[in-house]
Amino acid sequence: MKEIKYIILLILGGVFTSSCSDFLEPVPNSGITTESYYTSEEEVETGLISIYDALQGVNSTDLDDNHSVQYEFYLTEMRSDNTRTKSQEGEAAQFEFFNVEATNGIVANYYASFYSVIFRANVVLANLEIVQDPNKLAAFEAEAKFNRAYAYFNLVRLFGDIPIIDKVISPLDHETQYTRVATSEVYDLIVSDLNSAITGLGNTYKTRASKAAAQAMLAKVHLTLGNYAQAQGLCEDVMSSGFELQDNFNDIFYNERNKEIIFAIGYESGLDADSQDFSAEWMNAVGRTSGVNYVTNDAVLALDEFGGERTQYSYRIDPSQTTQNQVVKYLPNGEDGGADGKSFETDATLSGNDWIVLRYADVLLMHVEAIMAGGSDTSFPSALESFQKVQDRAFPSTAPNTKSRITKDELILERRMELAFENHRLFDLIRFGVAESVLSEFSAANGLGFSSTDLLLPIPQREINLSNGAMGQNPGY
Amino acid sequence: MINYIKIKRPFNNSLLMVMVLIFSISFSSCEDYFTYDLPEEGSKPDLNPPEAKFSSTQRDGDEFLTYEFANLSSQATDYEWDFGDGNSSTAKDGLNTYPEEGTYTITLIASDKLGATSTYSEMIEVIEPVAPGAKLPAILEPSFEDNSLPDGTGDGRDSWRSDLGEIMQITSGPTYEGDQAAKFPSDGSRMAYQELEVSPNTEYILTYYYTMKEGTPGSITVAMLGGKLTDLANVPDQTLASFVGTDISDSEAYVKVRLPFNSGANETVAIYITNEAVECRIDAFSLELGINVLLPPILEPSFEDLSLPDGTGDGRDSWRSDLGEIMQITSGPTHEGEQAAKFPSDGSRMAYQELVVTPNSDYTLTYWYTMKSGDPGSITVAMLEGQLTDLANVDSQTIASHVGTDQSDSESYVKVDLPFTSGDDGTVAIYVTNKTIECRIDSFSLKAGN
Repeated sequence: MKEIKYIILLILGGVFTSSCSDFLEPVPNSGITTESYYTSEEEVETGLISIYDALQGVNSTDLDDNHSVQYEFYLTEMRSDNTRTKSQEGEAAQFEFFNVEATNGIVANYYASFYSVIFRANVVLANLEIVQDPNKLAAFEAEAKFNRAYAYFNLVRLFGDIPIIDKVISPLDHETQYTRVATSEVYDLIVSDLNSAITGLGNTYKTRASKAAAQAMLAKVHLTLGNYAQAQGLCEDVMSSGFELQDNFNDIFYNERNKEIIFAIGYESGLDADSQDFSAEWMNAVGRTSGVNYVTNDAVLALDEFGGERTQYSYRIDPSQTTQNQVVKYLPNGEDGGADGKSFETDATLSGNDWIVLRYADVLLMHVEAIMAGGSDTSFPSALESFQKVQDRAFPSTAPNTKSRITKDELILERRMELAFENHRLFDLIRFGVAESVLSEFSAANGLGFSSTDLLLPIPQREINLSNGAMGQNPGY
Repeated sequence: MINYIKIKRPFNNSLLMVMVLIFSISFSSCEDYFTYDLPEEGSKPDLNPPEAKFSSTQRDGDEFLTYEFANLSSQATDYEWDFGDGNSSTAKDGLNTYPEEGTYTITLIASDKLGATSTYSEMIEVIEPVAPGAKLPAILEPSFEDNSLPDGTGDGRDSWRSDLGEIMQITSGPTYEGDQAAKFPSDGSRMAYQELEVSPNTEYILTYYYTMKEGTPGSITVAMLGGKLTDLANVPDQTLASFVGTDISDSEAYVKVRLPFNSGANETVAIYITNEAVECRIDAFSLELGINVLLPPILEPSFEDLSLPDGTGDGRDSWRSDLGEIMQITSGPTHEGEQAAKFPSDGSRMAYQELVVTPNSDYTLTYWYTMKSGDPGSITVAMLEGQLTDLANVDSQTIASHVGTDQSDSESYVKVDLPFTSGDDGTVAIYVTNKTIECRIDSFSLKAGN
């Protein structure tokens, strides 16, 4: 046994020369993991595309799947004076009654969906060093940051203080996951991400990030923060980028990716993986629900009086239940559903209508808002001009609709008419500082339970529970 | 035997269990076993006591005395508001209209059903918000004088320096005013730059004086830039307005320049001065507010054919109204162009045009008229507030009018300046009628200010 020392030496040598991580953590060659996947530019780009997949959400009736923007109307439009459920019962009706519970599954679903968008953006940002071409690197970084900012902007407006996750974290990083960070810091990240996006992006896509989309979104962020001159400059940048209003209001929604669209979430009809079902849910018992996002009488009255040409393309009387009113901006695949309004030739639950996030009319009205700069009215010619463009399409018979002054109330009303059922109303009311007065009046008139703390949603109870006491709840829940 | 055991064993086990039970019961006190120690009120600590908190929002405009209070308390069920003016409420959110401007302390007491309370107070100052006027920043060292900074220091050009280029020189003569002026040598190597904080979207007028050496053609350019300049390559993109001075007639005589500009989407603008090819001097900068009102075009102002913006029109299409018959068109005499408006002596015709203007602002309407000699008559131009829907309302809607009675020469037109102040409505109308004598009118124009 005198060879034993050589054997031991050999074994020890073998142990020391093999890298521990390779040796003890073999990469499975039969499957793909996040760590092993990103090895080329193309693969990083597939990571980028996966962000849009997270934004699209899963089209299914399973409440555990992330439904993402397909559920957004519940949290925004149905929590305003614009829409409600048809049946006015169940978890979905908590929004319209302003009695959302911390256990509400739709709220938890949206929260998880948008953190999934953030996670996927962070994965791309963590793998950028693989990209060799400096132009592509800048573009990829910009695109990931645009989407991260978009997700944070929606989350911070809905939930207030939220955890900031700006890198890929491990499941054990409890502190990052469950520390609520002040909204001002969240906005710092949003502004810095959108500024990077503006620098790194061009105007190539409508269903992917673009420079104009980042400019328009940053304009809205600055309006929210009260930085009006910056918002105005960004709106004017978009206004000189070749976008135009559609002549016919209806074409905005059914002539997809038209000149008015700045950023939309793309969907394809008939495909399980790439379609949406909100179009079906808004009809009478065509989707999983008996009908949601039905139009309130308050919105019907306002549209009838102030909508002009837009009214007929915004809502209709439900043909199979004539006491109710439906949204017609996103009819499933553009079909009207026949005589009963619910007979579709294509599968309505696999609709392909893109979800419009930013369009030119929104930017024109933001331009007016920026020039008004928090005041009660404006008479500046450039504001009057932008406002008139939106009004002239809505009221062609009286065009040119010249005005000498636009009041804040007129601007809020015009945004409601132009952008009804596009998930702007609640954020608009909050941004203009009138949410408390408008919604408490609406609530009192309709016997609903609004109080000022309803302007923020509850942090999902699941997160509070998992945080082991680290996360506090919003007031009022 | 086997059967016996099968019957017997369960019996024995049962007996054993009963005995054990009796045994164990006899050791525990019956009283403890069958009654509960019910917690008394307050015997458990309130682990989640309420915490009171609210935020306040003043309503806009005329409702500035009304405040909305958003209740941000946690773990509370009942609320008591004291708004500081004697009013109180027990609603969740607070809403109060104060009797007058002043300082008030609002107190919110939040409590839960265990009687735990929390109190939060905040003081508010209720004042009518004033619409901020446009900013008018001071240009520093505007005449390039020594020690002219607000603190009494400065070499006359300290406020004009920039990292982007070499600062201009100072000359002691000729100056436009004071002892010094700025000098830019003929090689065009120097520059001057100063940033100003302004209000966005506001009209300003920059005034300055320049002169340049006689003979050599060259130029001095003053540009107003939107935003801060970080790279000279951005000058064209950032230029809001500029003036290129090229007057080389007299190097001793300064030429005045008024450069109007609109600040647009900028809270900062910058003055940027460069020259080319000839030695230039510049002096006495000043900034004033321009006139920030709408200046709508008067359509067919001289009653010419095809003069509408789209190249059509019969010279009076913009002057028609349902309230009366439109005036006639004459081909002479006119004040300018080929045509003028004519009102026959029977006074049966009228002209009417609406204009959208800035509310509560000063304007001046200018026009020219002439009338036939003979019987005394008149031509009246009235500025009306709002749209005219009934001729009976002309008097009550009139905000300014001029009655022309100059019958001295039917061939020569008389100029009228009619100042008026627009009302709250923002729409005004020009309304023209005549009496007794044939009248002509021509060349309408509108300017801001009186």
